[in-house]
Amino acid sequence: MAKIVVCDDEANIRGAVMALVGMLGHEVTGFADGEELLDNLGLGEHFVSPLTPDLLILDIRMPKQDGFSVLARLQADERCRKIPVIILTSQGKTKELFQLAGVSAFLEKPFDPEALQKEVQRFLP
Amino acid sequence: MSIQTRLTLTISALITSTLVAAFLIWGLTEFVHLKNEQTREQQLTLEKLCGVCREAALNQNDVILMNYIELLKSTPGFVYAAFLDSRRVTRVHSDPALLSKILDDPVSRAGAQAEAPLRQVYVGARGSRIVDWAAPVNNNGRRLGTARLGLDEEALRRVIRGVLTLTLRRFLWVAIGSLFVGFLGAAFLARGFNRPITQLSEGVRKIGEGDLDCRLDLSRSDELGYLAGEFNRMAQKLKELDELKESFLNNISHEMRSPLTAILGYVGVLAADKKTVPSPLMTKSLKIIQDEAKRLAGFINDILDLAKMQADKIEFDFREMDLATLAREVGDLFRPNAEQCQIRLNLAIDDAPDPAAFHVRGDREALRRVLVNLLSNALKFTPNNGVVQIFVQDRGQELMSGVQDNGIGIPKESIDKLFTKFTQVKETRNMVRKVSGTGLGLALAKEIVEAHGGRIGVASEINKGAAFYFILSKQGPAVEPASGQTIPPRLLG
Repeated sequence: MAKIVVCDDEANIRGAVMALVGMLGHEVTGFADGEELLDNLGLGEHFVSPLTPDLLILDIRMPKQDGFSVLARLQADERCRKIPVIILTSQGKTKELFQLAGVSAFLEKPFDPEALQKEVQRFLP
Repeated sequence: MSIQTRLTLTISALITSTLVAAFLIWGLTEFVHLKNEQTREQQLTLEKLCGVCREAALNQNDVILMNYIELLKSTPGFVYAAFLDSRRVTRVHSDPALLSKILDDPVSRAGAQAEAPLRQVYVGARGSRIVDWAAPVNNNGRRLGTARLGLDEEALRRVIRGVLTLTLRRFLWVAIGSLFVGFLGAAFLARGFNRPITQLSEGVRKIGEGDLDCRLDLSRSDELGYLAGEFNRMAQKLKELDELKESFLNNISHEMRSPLTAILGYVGVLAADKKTVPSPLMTKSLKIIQDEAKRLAGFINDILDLAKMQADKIEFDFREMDLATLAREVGDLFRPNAEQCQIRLNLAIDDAPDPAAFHVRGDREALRRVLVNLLSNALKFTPNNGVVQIFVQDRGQELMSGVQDNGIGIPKESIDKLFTKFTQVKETRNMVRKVSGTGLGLALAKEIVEAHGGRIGVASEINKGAAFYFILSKQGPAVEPASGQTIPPRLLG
């Protein structure tokens, strides 16, 4: 059973993603913004016993710390650099996003539920 | 005619006409003045002659008079000078042959009777016109005789003409000089105007092309400077509006996509939930919710993508790809849909020995969107039992692809408007089946094809069908599309 972390500020989107991924038999944790996520990964300012997920599903537009700064922090950390990241955003395919290091997959909102499940299965067979 | 030429010509013409008018006025005054001066001089000479005549008559000494007359011969236009006694007998004459003769011609008679200096003009023996001056020589009221002076009128005129010609020549030099200076000045002035005007029109062109960062640097305090200032203000305003539109679109996109994402996500959750067996009504309802939410999402995507493409903000991913394979895929995708409408969906792909014949540099997803749009349009507007065909043709340096049908066709007057957004031909609405659509598909297709350096078009006849086609250069967008004539595909119907 792999650990998956979902980070999206929209509770209902987060809920849907968690339900869809949870159906595949993984342990899913959700966070509402980048700061909360970074804290729980052990990269934040507040100490929380660090979580090392096997996959991260990340939104870009979030309050406090957005997806870009989360990605930057992940890249800077030895332990978290290897975590595959699926970007789930409504920003569209801008060049900016394509060039980000550490992005493993890219899904545009509104996403196709089956496509999301397939992407997750690609990284966690 | 350019402003520079016009300004130069106008200023030159102005200088010329001013100079001509000035010369005419000045010349006329000078002429009158010279003429008066000459007359006054002649009168003075005559007066002096009279004095010498009186002296000679009183002293009975003609020698001084003869000497004086000898002196007079050097005056310009001199013909003769004489002293006649009261019986009109020549006492002294510059022409010795006429001495001691009674002069009985009408001019002499009139001169002899004149109480004051008299000017007469007559034609002399040699045919030249002669100005004759006659004045009485009196002593204490007694008339001693008449003094006469003859001058050649032509010679007198020549003197005036000589003076006028000389001044005219000087005047001409001045005129040429000022024309030259005026010409240079006008050219300089025009250049001064030309540069900012060129800058302004260049700026307007740039703004028109969408370069809203264009600003003009014209430090002038005149109307052109004012215009440049207004131009910069306008450009600033446009930029602000553009940014407003951009942030508006971004907000809309986020605010509309988020709820749609949640709806579609949870529909997905319900559909994928294997634990409960849904009733047929639930399945049907979920399908409808999903379809409608997808339609709305598609519409939002189309609007946003179109806006981005028109602002050149979409990055296309150009790679070598096979257009024929893509056409087959799109055909397969729509086959169930076509069968449902009882439409025969054909693929018309040329047989090509070269496996790379249909290779093109393009963005696969974008081109798929073009074909999907064209095909779904064709299916919408073709009646049951109709034929729809996807085609790909090798045209040497170019590929032509598209979709044709034998449906209701498009009226000629509507063809031009087809590729603008939110356009759906009114008359065709609801003619085949309930046609729904955003009217964005063709506008998007056009933007995509043009971003690939290609061109898109349509051939259609009402009730015979329509053929939508696009032509791409195999080299991709970097190479200008061949300027060869576009031969549209033949219609099916």
